[in-house]
Amino acid sequence: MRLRRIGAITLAALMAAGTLAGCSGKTATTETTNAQTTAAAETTAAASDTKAASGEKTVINIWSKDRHDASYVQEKVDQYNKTNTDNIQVNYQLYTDNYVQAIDMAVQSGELPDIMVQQDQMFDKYVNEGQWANLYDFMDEDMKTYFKDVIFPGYNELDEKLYFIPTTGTTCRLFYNKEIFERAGIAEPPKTLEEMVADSKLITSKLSGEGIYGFAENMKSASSGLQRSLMVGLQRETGLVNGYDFVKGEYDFTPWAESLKLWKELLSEDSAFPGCESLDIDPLRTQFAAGKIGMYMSYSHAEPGVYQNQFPMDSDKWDCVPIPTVGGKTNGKQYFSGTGGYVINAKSPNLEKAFKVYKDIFTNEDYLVGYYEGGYGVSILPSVIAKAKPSADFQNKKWLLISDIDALLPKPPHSAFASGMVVEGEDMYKTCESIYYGDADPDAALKDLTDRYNKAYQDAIKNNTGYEIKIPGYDPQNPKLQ
Amino acid sequence: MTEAYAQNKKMKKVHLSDKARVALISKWVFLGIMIVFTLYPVIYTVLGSFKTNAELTQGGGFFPSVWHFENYYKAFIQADFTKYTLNSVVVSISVTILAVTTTSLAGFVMARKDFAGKKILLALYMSMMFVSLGSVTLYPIYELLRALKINKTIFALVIALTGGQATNVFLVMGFTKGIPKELDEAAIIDGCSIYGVYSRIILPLSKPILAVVALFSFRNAWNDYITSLIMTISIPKLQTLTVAVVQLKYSVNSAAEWHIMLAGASIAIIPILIVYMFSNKQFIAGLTAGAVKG
Amino acid sequence: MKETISRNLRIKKTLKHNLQTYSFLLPNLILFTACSLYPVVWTLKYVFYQYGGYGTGKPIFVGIANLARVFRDKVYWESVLHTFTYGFGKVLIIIPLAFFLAFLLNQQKRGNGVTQSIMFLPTIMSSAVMGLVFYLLFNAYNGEVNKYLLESGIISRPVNWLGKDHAMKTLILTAVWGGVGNYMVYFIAGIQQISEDAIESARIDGAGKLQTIWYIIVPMLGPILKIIMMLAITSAFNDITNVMVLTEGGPNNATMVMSLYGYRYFFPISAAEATVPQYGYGAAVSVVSAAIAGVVTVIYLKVSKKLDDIY
Repeated sequence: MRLRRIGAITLAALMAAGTLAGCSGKTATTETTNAQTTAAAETTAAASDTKAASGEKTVINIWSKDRHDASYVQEKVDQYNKTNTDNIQVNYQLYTDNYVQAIDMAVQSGELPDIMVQQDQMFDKYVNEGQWANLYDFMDEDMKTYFKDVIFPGYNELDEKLYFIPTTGTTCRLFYNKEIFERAGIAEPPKTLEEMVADSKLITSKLSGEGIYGFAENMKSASSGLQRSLMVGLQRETGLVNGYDFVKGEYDFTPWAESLKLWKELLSEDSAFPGCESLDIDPLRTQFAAGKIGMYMSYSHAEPGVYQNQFPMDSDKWDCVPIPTVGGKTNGKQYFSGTGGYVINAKSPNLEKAFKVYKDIFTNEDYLVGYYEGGYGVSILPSVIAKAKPSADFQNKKWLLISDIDALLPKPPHSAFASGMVVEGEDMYKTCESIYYGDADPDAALKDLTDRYNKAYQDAIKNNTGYEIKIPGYDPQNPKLQ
Repeated sequence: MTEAYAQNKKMKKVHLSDKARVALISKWVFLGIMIVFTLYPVIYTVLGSFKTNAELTQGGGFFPSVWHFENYYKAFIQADFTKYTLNSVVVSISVTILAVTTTSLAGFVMARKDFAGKKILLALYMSMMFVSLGSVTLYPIYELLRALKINKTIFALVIALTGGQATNVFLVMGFTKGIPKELDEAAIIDGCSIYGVYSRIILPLSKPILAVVALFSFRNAWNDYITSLIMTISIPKLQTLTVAVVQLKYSVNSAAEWHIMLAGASIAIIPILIVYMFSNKQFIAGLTAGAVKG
Repeated sequence: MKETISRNLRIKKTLKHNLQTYSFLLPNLILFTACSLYPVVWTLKYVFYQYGGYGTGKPIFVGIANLARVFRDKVYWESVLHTFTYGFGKVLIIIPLAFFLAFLLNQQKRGNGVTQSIMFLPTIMSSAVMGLVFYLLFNAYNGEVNKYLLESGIISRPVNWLGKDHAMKTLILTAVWGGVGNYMVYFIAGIQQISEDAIESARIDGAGKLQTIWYIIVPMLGPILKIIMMLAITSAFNDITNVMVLTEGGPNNATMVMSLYGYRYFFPISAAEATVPQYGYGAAVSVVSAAIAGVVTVIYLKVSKKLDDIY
């Protein structure tokens, strides 16, 4: 019934239109179909197009997720392509925010490149599948000695296999615009979250007429924004790692309430940069560089390079300090992570050559010194630190360096076996989002979050998709990995 | 048109009263607003693609102060848009051809022939038109193409974008039913086989509806984002224009390169604009025909 | 003897006939099976499994746990609500606007054809690419929209168009932009089916313009209006690309619609999001969403039939 009516309209409309493809029917019978033949030709053309000829050279593919050092690495890769005598062609492919997704799809389709920047999520997911090569199999004694200081059992060395070598490190800091602070009459950067809220409001009330606001964060994606800010502060404040208590072996998010209440104020209209809710990190940085934002939090390894190369900003104008906590409390250490590490695809057909490329490009001292001096990451290799003359940023801004407030933290269950632990409802980031936008009551929402994470954790143990994680005698001020 | 009617009309013209004038003016004021509303984003994109980033982000005139054609050079060369454009062209044309040929063949037999299982098949096609699971079905499609080992080629994207075509098959079927059966019968008497009937009678006569299928298949393939994104995510060299443009948002310098983003957007919309200019009547007519598509 | 031969011949003939028929059908049938049928069957199967994808172990059979979880999932039902807000918002603006445009533009008068073509233009544009453009236009800190509004003094402080208070309105506005031309064309086709005489005779009887619209055109448009409404409603349920590119469902899920919510468990919406795929749960969400869309369509058809009887 309905269809007939639709059909009627279809036809009526077609006839009414009339103009379709000229006069239909009169010259009908003489025409033949060459549509099909073109179709065939077209599709074969498409097929041959995909088989890009690569010559006899061995092609080694490298994938990266890092924007901040992309130009530096590209330059080194180009140089390598010109000078290497092994007939190797290196292709450097930059993914950005969709890196993990791309790796996932590539693992499934067997398109995984030979070398990839190490990233925790992708590393954890496939390490037990034998996807990453054991670097010890290829390293000579010299190389082992050279990197001995950055081997951390439980982090990059698991069961006596080495999967990646971090050469630089990162943590999170509060970045602030010194000029704006001066203009607002604020003598010192904030040490507590309470001060930070007050400072932000002060800046906004004094300078918003000029389009300058106190605080911004890239809140478009809650996880991306909070991982570099709130979460890190909370690690120091509570001594728990993203809500996980390694002594008790359970989650507890309830201590987050105080911080979140202050964050709600921080993000309120009389404090935050308008449009924070839909801001990505790079637009935020352009606005910071343009002097429109008083402070924001981000990774220490990336920002100097960004303001030197991507969005130029006078080095004197900005500095950074530790992320403020509620009342300045410090009950633990905060996130530190190795960067500059690469994993090698164990299933690569050119495994030997891939390692050679990795070794030649990414582990030679020139590269590492240049990397540190260029401001792409703070070196954690003693010999590089001794040799390098880092840029003014690293000489003058002491909090850009890794310090004793930062440490490698053990992995809570939801990172250790991410896909085995199914949390019902919104994750911690989204839950925080609903709290600081005032859509949920902090205490009730956090209590609920605690219950949901603990249940998911227990279910994972029960279903054998996860395992119990407890570290006897764990001291948040002096964290152990296992 | 009767004489009285014509006269009546003429009379009205003479009496283009103040009231009518006001009506005419208010009609065009309203339409003017709608036209600005509709065209502004497009004009913004095209004009913006010739501006500098500063003009775009810090304010500037409506027109670029200097026309920066090199934005396009940058997009084509540095952002590799030549490759993506080629991909888009190959994919869209292949999808169009695949869609037209398969629906035309299937629509013909569905309209004209009886065969075992026809009822079940029709019911299945019909149900798929109304069951909409959305983009999540891309995952099983991707898995299937992986199992068939064609996921690394541009074929995979072409197949996924062409899809089941249930609605188009119905459209062609409905149209074919409207072609007089006597024509087939005469041809058969003249000694035509089923292939002859199809290629000599049905195919030429169903050109209008096939044009509609072609036009809309092309548009959908050219404009698609999600399917193309998923199918090419681990094989960036197969990305289409639309995907590449949106991904510019995440590129190294995106925040400082709005002008390149708009140049990319223009590269993606201008070809379809040109197609539209030459075929807007077909598009509009086709839309009504494709109404079932929803 | 003779009979058997003719029977054999007949069987051969039907066989040949069927083979020929299937050879026509086959190309499309392959596509249909691979891209329509198989995914649906797959999805229906995984509703009952917990599965994290390749490299995360075998799928675990969990019975109706996923479905039960859908019914507990507050955020999902909020997304259903948002879908309705979005759908109603879009339909309520687009249908009258499209009708009005069609009414103004249906006659062959100077300027009407060009205007029609312009109004239809957005429907040929990629909603993803235009989503990106709208993202730039509605940007709170340096978008054109705020720039104009600030300069003309309508607002004194940048409005956060993509923030949680306005994101849905902005989204609907962009959807109207992209869709109004589409529905205008449907209406024009409908109006042109109504005979001029009916309209003219009403006019001669002294009916005013509004009266003509209300008493002649609208009732006569009845059948087509119903189809247009149905298309508008079902398409609103399926809109996903524009949401994905413009707001990514945010902030704080303010623009999360149900199609995107299911998608989220298969693929991360925003590249920056760290979601772990949950294919089983995603399948359950999608199936429930499809059922909701189906129920709404059926209700709509029932209601519009009732209205038919009243007329």
